Amino acid sequence: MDLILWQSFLVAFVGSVLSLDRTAALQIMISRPIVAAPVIGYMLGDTAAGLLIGCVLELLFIGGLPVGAYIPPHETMIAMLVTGISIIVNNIGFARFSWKFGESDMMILVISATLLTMLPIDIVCKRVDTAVRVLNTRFFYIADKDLGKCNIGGIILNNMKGLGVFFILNFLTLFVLTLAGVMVVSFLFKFLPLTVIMLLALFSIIALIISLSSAYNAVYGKGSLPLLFTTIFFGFIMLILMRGR
Amino acid sequence: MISRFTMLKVFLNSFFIQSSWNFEKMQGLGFAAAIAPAINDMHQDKEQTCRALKRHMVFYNAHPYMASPILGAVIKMEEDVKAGIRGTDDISSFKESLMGPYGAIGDTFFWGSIRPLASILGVLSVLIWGLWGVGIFLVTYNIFHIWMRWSGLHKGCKLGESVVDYIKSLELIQWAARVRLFSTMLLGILLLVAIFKGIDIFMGQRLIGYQMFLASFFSAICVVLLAAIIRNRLSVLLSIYLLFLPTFIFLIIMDIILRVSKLY
Repeated sequence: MDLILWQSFLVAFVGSVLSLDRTAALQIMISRPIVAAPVIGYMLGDTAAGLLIGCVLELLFIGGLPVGAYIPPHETMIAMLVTGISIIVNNIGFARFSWKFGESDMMILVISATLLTMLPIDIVCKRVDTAVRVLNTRFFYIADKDLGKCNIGGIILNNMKGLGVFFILNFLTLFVLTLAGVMVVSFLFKFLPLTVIMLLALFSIIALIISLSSAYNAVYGKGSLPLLFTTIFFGFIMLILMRGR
Repeated sequence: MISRFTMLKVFLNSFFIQSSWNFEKMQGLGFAAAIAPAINDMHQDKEQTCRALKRHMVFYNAHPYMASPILGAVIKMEEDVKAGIRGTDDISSFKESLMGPYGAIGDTFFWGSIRPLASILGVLSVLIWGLWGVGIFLVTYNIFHIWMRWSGLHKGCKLGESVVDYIKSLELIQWAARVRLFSTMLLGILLLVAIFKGIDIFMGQRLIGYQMFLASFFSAICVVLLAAIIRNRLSVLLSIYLLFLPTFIFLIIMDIILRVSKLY
C-alpha cells in the first residue's frame, strides 16, 4: 500500500508540473499525451506502455482546440491517469489470469480496462480546469489594486499565483483520481468474467481505429480523401518493395 | 528603443501570458505582466510606469503565440506615446482590433494544422524509431512556435502597427491548408505502418501482398467512415462507448445467466 501511495504521489506531482504547460505556462507541448505518458511510464518502470498509451491518446485528442473560452478535453490528465493506473495495477498482478495471458498481453488488457474506466473522468478534470479559471479572476483585481498603490511587482506576482492555483488543484485531482482508479481497475480484474476480459483485447483495436479516425478529422479538408487513398496505395507499393513481399 | 536584455525578459514573460487566465479578463493580467519589463525600462518615473501599465489591465484574449507581434507593436507604440507622437487611445484600439483576427489565425495555423502535423509525425516516428519520435514531435512543433514568439516580438518592436502587414505577408491561413494536406499524406503512411506492424505483432505472421492490400484498404475505409460519424456531432469518447459498451453489458448478463443456470 505504501508503494501504491508513493507511486500515486509521483504521478500526481510530475503530472501536475507537466499539466502547467497545457494552459498556464510555456505551451511547448510537453503536456501532450505523446510526451507526458512516456515520462510517467519511465518513472514507474514501463516506458513502452507509456509510449503505447501516449500514441493512442495523442491521436484520440488531436482535435481538441482551446478556442476562446471553450475548455477542450483534459488530454494531459487522462494520459497521466491511464498510464499511472495501468502500470501500478499491472505491477500488482493477477494470479487469476496467469495461466491464460502472458505478461505483455495482460498489460494490453489492463490498459484497455483503464482507458474504458478513465475516459468519462474527463468531466471531473474539465470541472477542475473551470474552477481554476474562476479562482484566477481574483488575482486580476488584487494586481489592479496593487497597481493603484504603484506596486509594479504585484502584477508579476499575481500572474504567477495563477500558476500556483493550476498546480495545486491539478495535483490534488490527480492524486485522488489515481488512488481511486487503482482500486476500481483492480476490483474489475478480480470480479469480471473471463469473456469480458478477453473482449478488452478487441477494445484496444477499436481504440486504435477511433484514434486514427480522430486524426483524420483533424486534418480533414478539401481533397483530403483522394489524397489519403492515393498515399495508402503508393505507400503500400513502396512498403512491399522495401520488405520484399 | 528598449534594450536587448529587456526584450529577452518580455520574450520569456510571454510564455506565462496565460498563467492567470480567467473567464472575466482572460489574458488581461498576463499581457500586463509580459509587457511590464519594457514599460519599466521606458519610464524613469514610477508614477508614469504605473499609469502606462494600468492601460493594459483590461480584457485581452488572443492566441498565446500570436500575442508576441501584438506585444512588440504595443511596446513601439508606448514609445511613441512617451515621445508625444500619438495618443494612448491608439494602443487600446490597436489591441482590440487585432485580438479576434490574430486569435483566429493562431488557432487555425498552430492548433489546427501544426499540432496535428507534429502529432501524426511524432506517432509515426514512435512506431519506427521508438522514443526518438517524442523528440521529433517536440522539435517539429516548437520550431514554428518559438519562431513566431521571437520573430513576432522582434518585428513588432521594429515595425509597430505595420507588423499587421508582416503577419499578412506570411500567409499563415494558406499555409495551414497546405500543412493539413501534407499531414493527410503522413496519416496515410501512419495507417499503413500501424497495420503492417499490428498484423506482425498480433497475428505473429507475415501476410502475402494481396492480403496486406485488402487489410490496409478496408482499415482505411473503416477510419474514413468512423471519422464521418464522429464529425457529425458524435464525440470521440461517446463513439468509443457506443461501439463497445453494448457488447460488454451483453457478455456480463450472459455470464450471470450461465452462473445462475449452473446453480440450478
